[in-house]
Amino acid sequence: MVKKQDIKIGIRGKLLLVTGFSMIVFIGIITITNLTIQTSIIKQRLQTKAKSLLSLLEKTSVDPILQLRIDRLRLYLKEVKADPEVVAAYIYDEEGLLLTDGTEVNPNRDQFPKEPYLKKALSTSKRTQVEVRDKLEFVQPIYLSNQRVGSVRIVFTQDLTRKALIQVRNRNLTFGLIFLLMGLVAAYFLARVISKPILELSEKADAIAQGDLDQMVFIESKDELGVLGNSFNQMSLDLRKTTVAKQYVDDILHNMGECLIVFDRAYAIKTVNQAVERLLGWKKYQLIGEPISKILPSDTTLFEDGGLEALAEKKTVKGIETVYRTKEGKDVIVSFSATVMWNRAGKLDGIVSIATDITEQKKMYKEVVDAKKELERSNSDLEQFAYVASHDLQEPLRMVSAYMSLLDKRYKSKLDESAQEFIEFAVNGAERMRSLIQDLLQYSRLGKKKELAQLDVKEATDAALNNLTVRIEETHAKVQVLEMPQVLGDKVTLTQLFQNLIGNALKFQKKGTVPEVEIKATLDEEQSDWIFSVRDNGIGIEEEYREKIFQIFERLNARDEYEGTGIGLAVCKRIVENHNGRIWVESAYGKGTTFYFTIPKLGV
Amino acid sequence: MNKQGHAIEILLIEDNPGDIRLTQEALQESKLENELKVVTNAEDALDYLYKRGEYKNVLTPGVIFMDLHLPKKNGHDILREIKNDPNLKRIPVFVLTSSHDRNDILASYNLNANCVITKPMTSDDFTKLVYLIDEFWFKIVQLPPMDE
Repeated sequence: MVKKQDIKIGIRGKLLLVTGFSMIVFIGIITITNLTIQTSIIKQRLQTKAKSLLSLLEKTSVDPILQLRIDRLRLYLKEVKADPEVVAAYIYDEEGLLLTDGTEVNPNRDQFPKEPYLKKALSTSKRTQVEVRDKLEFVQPIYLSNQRVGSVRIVFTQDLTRKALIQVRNRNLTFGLIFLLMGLVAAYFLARVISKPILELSEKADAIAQGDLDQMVFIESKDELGVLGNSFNQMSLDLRKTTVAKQYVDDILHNMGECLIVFDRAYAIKTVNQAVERLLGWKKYQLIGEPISKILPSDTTLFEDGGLEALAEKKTVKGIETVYRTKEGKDVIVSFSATVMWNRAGKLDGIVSIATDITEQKKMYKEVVDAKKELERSNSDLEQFAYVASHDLQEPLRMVSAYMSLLDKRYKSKLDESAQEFIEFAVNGAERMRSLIQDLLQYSRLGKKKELAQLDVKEATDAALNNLTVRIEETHAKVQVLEMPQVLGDKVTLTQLFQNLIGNALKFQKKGTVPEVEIKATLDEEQSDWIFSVRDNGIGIEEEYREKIFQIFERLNARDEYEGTGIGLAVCKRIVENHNGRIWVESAYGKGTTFYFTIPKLGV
Repeated sequence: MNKQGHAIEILLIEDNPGDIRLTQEALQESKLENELKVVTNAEDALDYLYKRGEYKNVLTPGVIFMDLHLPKKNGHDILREIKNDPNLKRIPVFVLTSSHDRNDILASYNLNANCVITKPMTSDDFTKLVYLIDEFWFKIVQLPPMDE
């Protein structure tokens, strides 16, 4: 991977280098080609010039050579040498001896040229061209009807040519330099145009790599770079979406209150969330890769019973109560649920588990249980108390009434009327106390819930009516029992219930009225409860007392008018409550009363 | 006089002096020829029945009247012991109780009490009760033969 600091030559530099190098090569080639062409052109010109001069001299020189008219030849050469390019001109005789060089000085006629190329040129029958150093020499043999008569030699200087070439080269280099500069400037701008978006992309990509996903590039050019920019933006968007989604899931796992632990196939911890860290005191890195036993001290058999496959079979375990061990070695009671995790290849990958700290719930549950036990204990204490009290209270009462009556019987004749009256009050008081105690005892016995069994309520009403036969006959009451359902109930107490309610209906009547009682059962609106009603045509109950009557020993009427301890309806209420129902009363004062109570319908 | 022509031997197991006196009064008023023996706690009762210690020379009672609520061992314990003893179990036991408690009554019958009677409130009722007992138990019922 190339990092920013590793870049030695950037795109811009590279573009400039390539452009510069290419242009230099290009200019070089152009210059060299140009020079070569120019050189050959100049040489050709020189050759053409030499040819015409040599031809002229060849023709004109024949006669003077034959006639040895050196002066004429000298004159010719002088004319030739007038050309600035001609540095020397010579005419030789047929043997190669110099006749004249165009100067006034007569050459040494006995001397042949020493230079081998010259010797060779003077002896051949063709024109020879030789380049000697910077000079170009031409030697032309002169013939007169196949008879060689001599040779002409002209030496040209190439200085002018060279100067011209230098000029050409300089011009080329100048233009080349200008082109190069222009090229570099152009390349610089081109490089900028290309590299700017690339650099921008690079910077934005860098920012994304740093985690700043909110990156967009703005490339307007409609070319590959524009396409690249669009692709980049799309990629950035996609990346943002998936990253955001992943972060969202991470956030959920991180913040959830339940302990999330993922185990692999070998029961090693793969993932934990923050709740685990909080609950157990371990840091995440201290748990990853550790065996499950590190936090599940006692209950690693949780999965071993058939292992992962068994769990996979069951799909999930839910709400198992187990303990997690904290870093400090403390056990936390948790409700543990787990399910197997399948990887994409369809293989068992591990277990995802969720655990909730239920220490508080357990504590609360224990408190509730304790409170219930306490309540049961105090209830049973109360029953015990009521029982003992009624037994132990009976004895002295009996003593009072028994000996009072004995006193009355044995000493009646010796006592006056008042004394007999006093005895009567004492006996009545004792009698009344006895019935209160007996009612209390009966009421306390109702505190104990009885097992309920399915029964026909008709059995209870029949039994109640049977118990009330004497009273019904005495009052000539009309008692009508409509159809009764089957319910879950206790026959003895239900009988007591109906007996009390019907008994009240018979009892609380205006003198001379024939009691009419109707007992019926209907279903309530929700069809879940039977509503039983006992309706009478009695004296009725004032509205303000309709709650009070269900309290123990509450009486609304004077004892001499309607006898009773005031426990009957309290007993009724307890019986109904023991049957999971409720009891209430509706009454039109003076016109009659209807008592209602509910008992759940069978199967609800 | 009962059928056998002997005075009937009655053992009363009762700790309440008031009840003892009432029983005595009622028996006196009745025409029943009887010998009323009284013990006031369970230990004495068992000593009497097994003729131990000071009760070495007593007669085995023809019937037993007993209160359920006694100090130390309660009436049910004595009842159980009597009814489990091969010699004593034939003796009719009348349990007297001051309450109408169902459980007490059921427990007594389950322990084979011969009858359970709620103690009457007035002396008249007491006299009537003794009269009825005499009429039924000593005139109609054939009691087990007495020890000679």
